[in-house]
Amino acid sequence: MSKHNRPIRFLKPYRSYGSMTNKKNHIKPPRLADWLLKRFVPAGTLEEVQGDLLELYHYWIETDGLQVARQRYIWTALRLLKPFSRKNLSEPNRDHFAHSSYTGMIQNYFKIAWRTLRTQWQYSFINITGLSVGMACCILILLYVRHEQSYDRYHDGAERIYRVIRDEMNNADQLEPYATTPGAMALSMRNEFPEVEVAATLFQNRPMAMQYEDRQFYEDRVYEADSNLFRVFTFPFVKGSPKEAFVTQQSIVITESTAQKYFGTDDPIGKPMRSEGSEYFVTGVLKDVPGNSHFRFDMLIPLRTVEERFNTIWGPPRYHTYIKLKESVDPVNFEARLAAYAQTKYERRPLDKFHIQALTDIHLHSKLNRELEANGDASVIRVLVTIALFIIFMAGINYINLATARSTKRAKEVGIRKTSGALQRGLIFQFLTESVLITMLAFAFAVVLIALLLHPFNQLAGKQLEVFQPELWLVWLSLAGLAVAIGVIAGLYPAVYLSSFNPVHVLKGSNMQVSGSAGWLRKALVCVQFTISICLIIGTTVVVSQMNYIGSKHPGFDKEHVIVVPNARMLNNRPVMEQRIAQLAGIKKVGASTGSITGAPNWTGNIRTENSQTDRLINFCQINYDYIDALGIQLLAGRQFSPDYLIDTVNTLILNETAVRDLNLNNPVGQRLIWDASMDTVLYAAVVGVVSDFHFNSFHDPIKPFAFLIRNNFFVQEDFTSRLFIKTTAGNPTETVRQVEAIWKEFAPNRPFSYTFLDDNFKNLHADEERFKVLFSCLTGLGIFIVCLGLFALIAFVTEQRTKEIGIRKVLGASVASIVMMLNKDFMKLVLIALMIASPVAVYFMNRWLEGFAYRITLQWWMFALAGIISLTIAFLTTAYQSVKASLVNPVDSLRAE
Amino acid sequence: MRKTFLGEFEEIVLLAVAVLDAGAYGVSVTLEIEKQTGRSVGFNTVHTTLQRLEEKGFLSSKMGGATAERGGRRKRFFRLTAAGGKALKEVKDIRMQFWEALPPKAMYLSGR
Repeated sequence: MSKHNRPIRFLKPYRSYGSMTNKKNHIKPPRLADWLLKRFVPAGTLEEVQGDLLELYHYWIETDGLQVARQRYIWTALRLLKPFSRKNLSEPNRDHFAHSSYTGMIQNYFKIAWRTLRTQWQYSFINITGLSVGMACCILILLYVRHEQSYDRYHDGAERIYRVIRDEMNNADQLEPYATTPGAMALSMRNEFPEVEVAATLFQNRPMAMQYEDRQFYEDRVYEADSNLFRVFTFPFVKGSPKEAFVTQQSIVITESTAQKYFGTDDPIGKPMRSEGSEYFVTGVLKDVPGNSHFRFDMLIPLRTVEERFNTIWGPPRYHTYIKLKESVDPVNFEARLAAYAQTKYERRPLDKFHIQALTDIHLHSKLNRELEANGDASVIRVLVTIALFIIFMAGINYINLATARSTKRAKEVGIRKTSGALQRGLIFQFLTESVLITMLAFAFAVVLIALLLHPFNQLAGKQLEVFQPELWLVWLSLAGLAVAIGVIAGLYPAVYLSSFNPVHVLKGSNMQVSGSAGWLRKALVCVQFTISICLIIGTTVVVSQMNYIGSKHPGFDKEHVIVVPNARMLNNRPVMEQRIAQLAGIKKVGASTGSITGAPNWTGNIRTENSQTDRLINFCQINYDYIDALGIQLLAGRQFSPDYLIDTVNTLILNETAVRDLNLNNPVGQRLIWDASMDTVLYAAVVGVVSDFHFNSFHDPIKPFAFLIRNNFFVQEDFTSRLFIKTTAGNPTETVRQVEAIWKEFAPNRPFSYTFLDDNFKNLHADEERFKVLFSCLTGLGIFIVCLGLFALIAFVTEQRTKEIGIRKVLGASVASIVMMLNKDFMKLVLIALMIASPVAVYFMNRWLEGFAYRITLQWWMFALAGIISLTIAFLTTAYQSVKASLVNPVDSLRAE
Repeated sequence: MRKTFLGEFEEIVLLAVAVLDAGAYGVSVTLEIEKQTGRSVGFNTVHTTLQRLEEKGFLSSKMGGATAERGGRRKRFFRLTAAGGKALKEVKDIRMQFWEALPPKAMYLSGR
């Protein structure tokens, strides 16, 4: 007898307990359990069961308390759900009998499926490995894509939010698209357009040093905004409110993690933060901006600190304008009205065209000048999704091929089942159960794989994807559904095929050939697999070659040994500081410029020759005297800027070759040009030198006309240069940086020092492509791995089938080599066919990819040959082991057994 | 042939029904068993056992009248059938036979 594991709970005689039920009747048992009972307990016994349980429930509440009673109720109800072995008494004709035999059958299906999995574990292993690897990468990519597509969708009414953008145009219809507008845009929107619910202006501030007591940090995500920002976007306040956010010029709103950084657990509201002489007081704390936002900030300060009258002046286009339209406003119609209005208002540049851009399109589809952050790329997403689907497809093909190839093994089982009265439908169902079971197992492994791969994947993709959040349960549920769907789709053909065997034939043991009716399909599918993998191999080759080309092509300037120090604008005594730095040992030149040479925005303006009426668009930046030397840009004609020439401080330019060509200048040096004629006065500029072309943007963009100028009285009266380019000798960079920093501290004690190396900046220009390359190569590797798995298993079955044939051939004098050849011939043929199909497909798609680069390689024949050789080698190596093993077997062994 | 076989738990359930006489239904049987044996018994086990015993013909059942208690749901009352009584008796007889055949020494060994 068992020991008493709990005290006997009958303190009162139970018969008297019926009286207490009335008091307790109002306490309802757990609803879900009750629903389950109603749903699954046979109707004939439902009433008594429910009654009994309710009674017990109230009794348990009395003895054990509500908590325990609920648990026991749920537990008992769940255990009551097991299929009853007994017929329904009160309704004997309900299909309860059918039901129980049905569940019995399903149990049997699972049992058989499980046994098949276990007994043929090698086969199951290959299938599950291939499928789970395929699923894992497919799911990761789908989650990644989902993340990319979720950008900015979390705002309330996100579909009504738009950004006003602007195409800078000149009279030659040249176009440069900008994300920025004049500051007056938002206010005019609110005043002039009833369709606009609210409009907000945003200004991306330069990095600021912020200090609270002894805590000082360098903040590079500071924006200037007004409180309308909180009405356009949804940025929930943790402390404070939109109303109080920007009451004074000294307000500052920070995010939660920033508050944590400066104030720890203290209440940040009202605390002072100092920045380079000005002081701010915290008025609000926001929740951190989600990662899937096209701009993210840590701090917001009021807009008006920049310019008092900014919101009425159609001045320089430096602001980002976001609007939220009222519901049921037609954006197309609105855009037309807005464009017409803005064009009349914007007298500075009357040719510019204004548009609106849906907020949710920005991340994947917008590539304008002065984006707030680097955006994603819809075409990359498309490529990734395609590859992911290909990979899962190939894993599915493996399943189909192996299942049909193994048909002889299952043929007898099917025969017996059919003679015992199984219908084809039942058999199909049985085989489907098997394939779904396999895919579910694969799914489980895939989840484990994802957990393992998430971190490396995040590093590769440069994201912080979270995949196991509870909010994502629906996604996971649908992914599991997808896994089942894959099981059904991949299992359908083998199921139909296997279940269609004629029992008389299979039981007599007559020839059930591997290369039977499913043979051609299997070959076709293997061919498809190879076509896909060859496409992927060619793709990888092209991507890698293009990236190597980018890496090795000289950008036209010397990117080695250059330290870039940003945030140097408007420092006191900058020239002195530059001099001091230049005097350090190991430093050759100290250049300075407004833009960073790599990618970051330059200015654009219009320029034309005196005898031409059409303007030409030109990129330009302001530099100092040493810049061209510091970057090693080659001077082709004329001279550099020099303090010796007074005219350089008035109106001189240095052009690049493309600009010379674009302006059609024969003797550029000494030419007089007209600068930005759309301004009120005509400004003349003189060309003093020509430099060779250099890549100031990524290799996606062609080199455009470019002009350098220094601080001069005509065009840029102030010194706007904000970055130092310090060319060093090939010495110890850390020591040099330390010395530069010491000098910086002397001149700008309030500004934190930061630096990068120019070659790194240049690499970062193509970081996305580099990532794409790695991702693409990994996926190609995975795809090949899956194909190899399938091929390996397939050839194992084929050789097994032909054991006797091989034995006889060897007896008759065939050599090992000829037998290996014989076994591999079929697959090699398939690979060659695949190569022929894949090549034109790859040519088409890779050319399209390459077209995105202004500077690119051309496709070469060797890329295809290489892909062919690689896939042949891989196919051969995969099959070699099995075929050599089979052909080495002593024919005595293979022929003896019968 | 399995009909005459009574499992240990079935035997206890049958006994509980017999003891409760006219008042035997799911809850009372469960609680009676808990009270008599001191072990915690799952209602679901009792419920299925009652049904199985009825199927074997050891019990008969009838729905009781509607009451205000338990949400107005009726109870299913179980009664021992003649076959049930016979089966109980058989089990008891077999046990008694064993007990009577037990040499006195065995009782000491078992620690009684």
